[in-house]
Amino acid sequence: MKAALEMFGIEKERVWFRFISASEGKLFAQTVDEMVQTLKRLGPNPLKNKWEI
Amino acid sequence: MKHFLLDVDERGVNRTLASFLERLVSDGMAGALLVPKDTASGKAAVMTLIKSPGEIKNINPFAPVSPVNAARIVSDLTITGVPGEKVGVLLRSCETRALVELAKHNQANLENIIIMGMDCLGTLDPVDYSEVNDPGGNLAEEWMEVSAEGEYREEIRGKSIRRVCSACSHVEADHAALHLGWVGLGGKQILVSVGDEFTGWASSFLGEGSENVPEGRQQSLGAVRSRREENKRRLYDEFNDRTRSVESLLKEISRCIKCYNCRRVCPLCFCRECIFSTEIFRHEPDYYLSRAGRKGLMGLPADKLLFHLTRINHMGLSCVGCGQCESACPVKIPLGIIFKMAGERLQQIFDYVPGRSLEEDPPLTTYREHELEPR
Ligand code: SF4
Ligand code: SF4
Repeated sequence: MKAALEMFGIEKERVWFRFISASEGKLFAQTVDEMVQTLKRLGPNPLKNKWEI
Repeated sequence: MKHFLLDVDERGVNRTLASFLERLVSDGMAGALLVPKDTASGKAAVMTLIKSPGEIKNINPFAPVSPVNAARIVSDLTITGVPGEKVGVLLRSCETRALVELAKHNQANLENIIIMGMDCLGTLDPVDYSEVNDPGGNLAEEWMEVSAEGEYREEIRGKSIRRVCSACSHVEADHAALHLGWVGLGGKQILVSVGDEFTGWASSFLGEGSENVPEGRQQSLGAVRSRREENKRRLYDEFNDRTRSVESLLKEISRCIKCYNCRRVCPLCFCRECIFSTEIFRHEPDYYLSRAGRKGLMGLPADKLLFHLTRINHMGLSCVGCGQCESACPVKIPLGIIFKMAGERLQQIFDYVPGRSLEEDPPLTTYREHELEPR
């Protein structure tokens, strides 16, 4: 999926796949945190401003 | 595979093949046939299920047109079970590959289906075919003759073959129990290549047969393939530039009217319920208004980009590059090349070739750790 998005110039960093078991609460929190940080850095999706999509 | 030569008699290719296939049925090797046949007007060649041997005589097996990917038809025939007798289906490469892919996804049943393959050097758009073919015409023969002599052509009576066909190097059809070849044979002979179950039958009237294909054929096939690879590289370079960013992709697809023809004709878009036809995409009026409010305006029909990206994600690994999507698109979006190119790139990640083998599992049903490594 990431490869498909990247082909058309959509940043793959916006899509995350992680395997976290139900017992790993801490890891889950950590991952979400990381994800939020990354997305903040990337800023809003430029597609958001395109009216014709 | 054992190879036999069938001489084209004075009645021409179609009648010669008709007699050959009549024999297949009268000798009890098949109970029915699914083969292309010109309609009475000659304006279309359609896949026809023939039960009565007497009706075989007007078939047009090598007609250079593929109005639907016939794997879809075989899927329709077998989706609820196994036919009561053997059905011989005559297909070109993009159709046998799609059929194998469908069988793997439980969308077709190959029991009692005899896959008969044929050489294909490309097909015309059905509209072009109906313009240049005449009733009882010998369009196929005409093209066969020049191509069989080794001349490389991409047009028939002034009409070009479809763009994806010009980038396709699959001349022979894979997975055939019985294959009819004509490239590199001079136009006066047909190469009948058969697997074990047909060897006895074929040698009962075509002589001893040989382990090798006639000299010249491999060479002609090689020449066609390298021309096609060259075309493909050129088209991929062009389309890479035309789709490398969302802006450029939008230039190609923004005229999409969301008629869903591409989805309807794609042999591998087989979901009974497509997410785009579900409640998920039936929005409240205020949803549209708020979306338009966010940007100030909103183009409709909505979600064109999402539709195409979703389709690529869903079936890209299975895309056989048949180009039916492109032929069916009323606004002429170059979908065939875009999907073939994107599909091949996704397939490379998993070292998967759709339709290559029945035994190969579809990548998304198997887990291999190395596939998840960052790339
Ligand atoms: S066939 Fe063409 S217009 Fe119709 S949905 Fe597909 S891309 Fe859009
Ligand atoms: S996406 Fe287009 S080229 Fe690919 S299998 Fe479907 S119809 Fe054929």
